[in-house]
Amino acid sequence: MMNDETKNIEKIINSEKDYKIKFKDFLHFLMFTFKKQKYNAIIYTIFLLITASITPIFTYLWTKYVDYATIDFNFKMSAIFLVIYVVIQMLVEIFNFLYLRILDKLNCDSWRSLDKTINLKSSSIQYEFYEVPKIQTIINRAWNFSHGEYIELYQNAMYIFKLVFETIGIFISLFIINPIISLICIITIIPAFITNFIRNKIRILNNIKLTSLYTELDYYKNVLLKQEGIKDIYINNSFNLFEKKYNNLKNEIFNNEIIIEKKIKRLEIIEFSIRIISLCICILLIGYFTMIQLVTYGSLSSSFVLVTTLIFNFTSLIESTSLILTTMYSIQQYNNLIDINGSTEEVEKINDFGKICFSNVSYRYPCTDKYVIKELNLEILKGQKIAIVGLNGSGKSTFVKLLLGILTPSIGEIYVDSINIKKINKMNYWNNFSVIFQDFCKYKETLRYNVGISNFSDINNDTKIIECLSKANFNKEIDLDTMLCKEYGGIELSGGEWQRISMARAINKDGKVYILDEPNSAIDPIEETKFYQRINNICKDNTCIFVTHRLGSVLFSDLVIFFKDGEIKEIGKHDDLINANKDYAKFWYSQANQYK
Amino acid sequence: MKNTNVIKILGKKKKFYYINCILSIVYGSCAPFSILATSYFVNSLSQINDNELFNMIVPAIILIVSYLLPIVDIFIDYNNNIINNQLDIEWNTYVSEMISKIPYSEYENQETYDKIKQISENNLYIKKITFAQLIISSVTNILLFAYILVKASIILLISLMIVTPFVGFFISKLAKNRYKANYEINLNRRKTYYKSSLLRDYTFAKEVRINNSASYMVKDWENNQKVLDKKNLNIKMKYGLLSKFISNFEYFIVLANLIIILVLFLNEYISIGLFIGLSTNIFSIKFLTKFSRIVDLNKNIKLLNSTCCSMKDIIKNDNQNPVSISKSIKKIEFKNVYFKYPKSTEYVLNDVSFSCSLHEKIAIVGENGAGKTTLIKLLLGLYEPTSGHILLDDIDISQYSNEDKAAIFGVSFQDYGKFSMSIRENIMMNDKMFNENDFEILKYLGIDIIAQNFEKGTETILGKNFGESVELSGGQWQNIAIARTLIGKKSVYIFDEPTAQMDPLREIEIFQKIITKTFDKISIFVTHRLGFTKNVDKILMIKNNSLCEVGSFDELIRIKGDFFRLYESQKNLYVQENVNDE
Repeated sequence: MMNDETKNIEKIINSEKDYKIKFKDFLHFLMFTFKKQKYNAIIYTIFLLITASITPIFTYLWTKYVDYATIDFNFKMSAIFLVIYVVIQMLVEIFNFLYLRILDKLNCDSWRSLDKTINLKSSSIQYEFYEVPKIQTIINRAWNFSHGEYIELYQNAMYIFKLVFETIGIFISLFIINPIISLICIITIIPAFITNFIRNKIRILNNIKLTSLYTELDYYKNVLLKQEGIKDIYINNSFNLFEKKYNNLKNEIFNNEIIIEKKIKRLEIIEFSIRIISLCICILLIGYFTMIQLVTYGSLSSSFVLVTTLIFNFTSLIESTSLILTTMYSIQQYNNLIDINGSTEEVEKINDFGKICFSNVSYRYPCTDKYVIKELNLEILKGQKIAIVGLNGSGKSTFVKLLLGILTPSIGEIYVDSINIKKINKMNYWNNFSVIFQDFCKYKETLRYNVGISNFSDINNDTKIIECLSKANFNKEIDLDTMLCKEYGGIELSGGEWQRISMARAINKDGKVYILDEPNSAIDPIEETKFYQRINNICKDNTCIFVTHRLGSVLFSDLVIFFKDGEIKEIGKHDDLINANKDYAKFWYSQANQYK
Repeated sequence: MKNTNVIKILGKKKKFYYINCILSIVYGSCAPFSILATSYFVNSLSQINDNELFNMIVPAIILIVSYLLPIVDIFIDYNNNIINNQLDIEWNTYVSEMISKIPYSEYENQETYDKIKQISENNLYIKKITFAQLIISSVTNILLFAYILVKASIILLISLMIVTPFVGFFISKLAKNRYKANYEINLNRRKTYYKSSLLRDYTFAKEVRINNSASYMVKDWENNQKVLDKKNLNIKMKYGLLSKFISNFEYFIVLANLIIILVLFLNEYISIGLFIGLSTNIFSIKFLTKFSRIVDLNKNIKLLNSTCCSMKDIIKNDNQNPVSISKSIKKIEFKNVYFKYPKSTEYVLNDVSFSCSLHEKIAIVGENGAGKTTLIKLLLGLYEPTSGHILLDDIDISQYSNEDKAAIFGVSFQDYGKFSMSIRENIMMNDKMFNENDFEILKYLGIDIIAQNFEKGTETILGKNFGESVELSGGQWQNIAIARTLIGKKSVYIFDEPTAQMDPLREIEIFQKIITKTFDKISIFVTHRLGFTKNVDKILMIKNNSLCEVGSFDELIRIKGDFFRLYESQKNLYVQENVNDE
């Protein structure tokens, strides 16, 4: 690791913590949910209490029903208790339905707020993190957590609450029938929980081991469903390749899983047997008590019901806890994203965007050790039109990103109006730029959205958007609310039309500095000439920076900067550089000669 | 959907399935068995005295066994793991075969795409197997219950059975409506997901920041998500309420049954054991709930099956063509080709006719949206012409299978695919290793130098999807795309804007290289850089959706038409005097 500014980024991104089971995080999550949903949570708790207290009532009613039938042979009384029992049962059912509704609502809302946190976080972390492939994995994992494990965690936690309350009710009922039995029941849970813990640990460790394989599997499953690249698959007839890759990987994962599964199932069988046998002992004991007439047939029948419910509850309880345990480690997936924090010293504001000054700037991408920009010194004056040219990989795009402040120099500083851009509030800083990136975004949204997004306070201002579109020479007569993709029932645009939209987007932003990062790769020649003229008209007194390798555009610039290997090799007016007859001239003639 | 026998697909895993069937029978008999065990236990309990305790041993053991029996579920689960893995793989194979047979133009059709997605997400094989097991266990369960009930009194059975068909009808209708309702909000769901993915995706990260649009986007997404959540909840509410209604209805039947049992017991028709056994377990019989699960799953399978069947119409028939197709094409001919998209009225291409033969290099030029890429897609057979013919060696393009086309065409698209696979797989697009010729091409294009930077060489995984993958720059990716085109001995090469992201020196170099490699074949270039067109034999100028000028560079310059004008405008950028004059 090299000792420069970039190492901060590296430090943060490599500080990804190992997965551990942390109850604290889990509790934190539950609180997170409840805090957002106070009323629902309170109602939910009341529900739980009622659920717990209803079981002894049921037991009482059932015992009475059987007792009147078996001891007094009294049909009337027996039937009355039976009807009451069933009616309450039905009420509970309706009650349960309401409970589920509230739970659903609770789920939905808490889930959305978690998604929101992730979305906000990933759209606000420093861009520089995105240059490391790992960040996408971290984000995807956090998102997957929110959409998979979180729901599981949360729902199971809720379910466990319910089960625990219910089980307490059952214990109380059993205690009323016979205290010894309820004691035995409690003891039976302990071994089951121990084996449960062991088996989950095995599963968790295995899951963590296989995480990356799962991501890969997911990719292969969906690659045929992604519209980008499908043409290549069609024309190379390589459906087979993806099919095979998926199948092999799936088998690999399966072979891994099945070994673990065998172990787990064995433990499960042991666990199950212990549980059932000890519960059977309870039943036999009650049977014995019935025989010696310590308890009635009614109680015997009730305890059958209770024990069956108890078995069911135990099974569910263990399943839910095991699910929670196996997924609890995944909270770390979420925390890994949330823990990423960039610099916060951005307080200064700039009003007038004047001189830009690069002072001895070097840059390397995080997690690489080659400087792609080397000791760069440069001054850009207000209103200058600058063309940046150079070979691929010579650092042009990196230069632009540094200027935009989305990358921070590893060494050296960049000043705007003598203020270090590190200290400038980024929102404020970015408001000054209108940028067309090489890989500008093609949002699968309406035309309005695509243009208005750069200045969303005016997104409903039709006149402004239409004006921007006409300035960008977008002539296709379509409604502003037309979807720009077939997928969502709209139309498909060509590359050139998209380019014009991206230009309209830049115009809409109305920045003080225009940056065009190889904007013309999809434009035809006549359009190209017009494009440069248009840009010149729009920029007027504004600073304007073209990055290009179609050299025709340099004629519209005051200053040409020729990049090679991360350094400025030549700088000056086009004519001067041609006369100097060095690398740039060679570069120029290679293209110009095609037209002789 | 071909009428496949799922059991056959299982192959060697068949035995797990058969074991599971037997275990399902055992599982289904658990509950009835426990009624009998309970009643036996209670009966013996009521009949013995204090000193005959050992008489209780047998009933007690039977009772314990009846409680232990559900343990088979663990085995079923384990076996299902094995079966499902096999079925998952088979289903994936089926889906990818299906997609490979769907014409590309249909793939672009949203309706078809939705169906494909649905099929890919729902494994019909697994559903069918689950269904079979469910049926087996439920039928065993119901039959045994019925037997017990009949033993007690036939009235019990009748009262349980009488309502079943009505409820069944109701449930199946419910299942269908629910399925539909869920399907309808699918588009909504996808859109919402897309909106949120904008905030997390690398490709959008730069612009979202520069434009300060995150706050708007979050709001936009959240609003959509709220609407979606509400719709989801409504569906759940509506159908949840209805199914709750059914289960409450079941309680009435249970109540009636319990009273009958009570009467039977009081009149000494049934023993105390059966009385307690039945009344304790009658809640767990839940005929209707079981029944509704079966109906629900069945409906689901039927609907999926019909979706699969509907794909049959779309899938083009494998033409068992007797025509022997040569892999080295000598002539391409367009005969009065017209094309429009299925649902539109506007022609994208009007009356295009041209031909080219071996050793010819062709450039297609024209303004944006003129139809250049469509022309290429037609040539590749990705679209079918609305009228007219496209002939390769006098055989219609539709006669060629995907495999034939893969062997004939080398294509690099403007928006070529970037797959998160190794460099080798990205180039070969199959699982073959490089042979010597391939290595030569890699060297020729300088890919071996790119690969040398990485530890794993050409086996390095590309892209940003996985933790250990490496992302290439735009130019490097384009190099890979060109290698993909040139690799293997193809007879027609097509380059759709192959050098858009390259710098000029590299561009010339690559063009030269492409030309050297493809000189003895047919090659077609779509390009904006008119300087390059000097190097080709024939230029096709497309304007306003039809072919307006055809000829060599010199010819087209001589006639001073559209091509000439286009060329001049571009040339002016490089000839300083002209610009200075302006």
